[in-house]
Amino acid sequence: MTLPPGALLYALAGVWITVIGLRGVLAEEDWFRKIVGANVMGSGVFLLLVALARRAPDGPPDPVPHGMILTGLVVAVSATALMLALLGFLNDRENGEDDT
Amino acid sequence: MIAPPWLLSLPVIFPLILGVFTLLIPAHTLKQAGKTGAVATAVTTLPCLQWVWQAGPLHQTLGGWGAPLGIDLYLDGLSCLFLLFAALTGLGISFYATEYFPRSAEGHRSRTDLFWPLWFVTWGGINSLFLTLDLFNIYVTLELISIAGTGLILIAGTRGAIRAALQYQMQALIAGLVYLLGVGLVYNALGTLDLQLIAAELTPSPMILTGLALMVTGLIIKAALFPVHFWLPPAHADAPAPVSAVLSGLVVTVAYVIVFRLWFAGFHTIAPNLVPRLMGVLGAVGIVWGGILALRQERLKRVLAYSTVSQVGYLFLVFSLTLDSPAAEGLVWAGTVYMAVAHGLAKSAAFLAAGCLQKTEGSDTLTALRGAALRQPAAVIVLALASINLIGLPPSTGFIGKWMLLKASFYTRQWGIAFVILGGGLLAAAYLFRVFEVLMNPPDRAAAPDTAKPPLPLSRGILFPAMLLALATLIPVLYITAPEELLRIGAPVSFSRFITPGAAQ
Repeated sequence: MTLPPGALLYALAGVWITVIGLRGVLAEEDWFRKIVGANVMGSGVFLLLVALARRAPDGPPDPVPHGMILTGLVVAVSATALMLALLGFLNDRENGEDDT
Repeated sequence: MIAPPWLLSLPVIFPLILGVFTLLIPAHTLKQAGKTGAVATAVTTLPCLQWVWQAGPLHQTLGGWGAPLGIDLYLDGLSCLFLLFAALTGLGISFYATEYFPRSAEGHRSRTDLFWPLWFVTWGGINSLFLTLDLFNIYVTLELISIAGTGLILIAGTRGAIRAALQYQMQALIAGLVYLLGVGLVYNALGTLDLQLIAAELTPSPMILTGLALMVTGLIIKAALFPVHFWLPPAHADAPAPVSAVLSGLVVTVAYVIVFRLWFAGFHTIAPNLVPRLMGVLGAVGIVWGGILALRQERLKRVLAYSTVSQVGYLFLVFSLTLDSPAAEGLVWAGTVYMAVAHGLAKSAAFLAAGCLQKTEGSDTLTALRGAALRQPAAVIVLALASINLIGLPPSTGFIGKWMLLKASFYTRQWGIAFVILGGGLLAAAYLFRVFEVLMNPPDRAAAPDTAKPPLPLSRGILFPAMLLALATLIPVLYITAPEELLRIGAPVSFSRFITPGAAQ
């Protein structure tokens, strides 16, 4: 399985962005930064999948990975919203306790 | 004989519909709906059992779209056994939950009412994961379970629970992305997402090997294998008891079963030997590490949560044990399935009992539970029955599973693994006896500040489901050949030298 050169560039960029995002999740202390890191990682994974969808140098890209990415995006957006809401609750609780 | 087209989809769709239904109905009818729905969901798995027993494995396509494009469901002995396991555990947890969560006033919804929709969605997802053959469907369903699981943890409402839920959701998202990346690579190489079609065409190319490695990595994070177990103890210990039982008894097992299925569907033929060895070593370290940390916990639910980390380790020994000796394959394979089922049932029962103790004693710290055996004998008995399994004492299913793994490790001369299996049992005995020592000791009268305990807020029947789950782990001893025969149906391994302790040698 060989990728066309253009797609290869995108695929390598996707791998790089994935690694940057994963590093953010693992190395950052602050939860907000971790959540952003998870989003960056998601973008990297999706970029890689988009690049891999072009399975032949000429001819249309494969629609199945696009479907996978769309679903993955929905999951990532929902999970991000959920985590941000949780972080908000957590900050509210902690601030509330500090006040008393 | 033609299978009805709904046979395999019903155990998936029905609980999902119930999830929506329980979100809409008035709050005061929820408990009744929960009980009825749980019984009905469990019943939907019975036609699957009947079919697989009489006619063997069954392959069904959804909506007339077959593989490679559509999603296929597949039923064999293994998936049927796990469907029944989920049904039994789910029934127990549901009946317990109706008593555990306070009854809502008419026309008023409280946070605990959200247990039912989230739990039924989780149950549907679990059934789906046991049946599906589509790699991408596995991803979607795992994420569905994770998001529902986050909601379930939040029912506790405490600060610790919110933090645990945040961590749980983060690991789930990352693990899911890693798995999805692997699926993308495998799809790119083979052009299909159907597990059986993939298994037929596997070659050890770099693309496929990387893809499989990423998929397995994502799944072992969700299965909480050492060293990626860090998210499990807070999530499982800070959730309300029925939720702990769902997460520790069912959800972890499901993630593991997918690794197990993928591996024996064909991954084991192309993976370099290093991979199963590594998984075996991580499993062995996890057994010891989880056990040691369980010994050091001061809260009962934390002890049980670390015990899950330890018990998951046993399940990963299979990859290393089947490597050297194909002849012992069936033995290890079935032993691992028995251990997974025994742990799921026993751990659910243990968490349910711990929930009772926590409610009636006001806390689950070991100091607060001192002498609880006198006040709550039933809960302590359930905990003891579950412990028999976790330690692996006869005559429990946990013992049979451990016995088979031990036998296989002798057979394949993997003495290190044999040592860890035996040592892990001792560790489990140590951390559980430490709990029982506290529970059985009479409280110090001079130190007891007030004898007036709060009145029992729990009804008498609450422990029945937990008791049944704990007792269910003793059934295979009475009739040992039935689960074994079920497992043989469509099994991907050879059972030529498969001998259970009950059968004649």
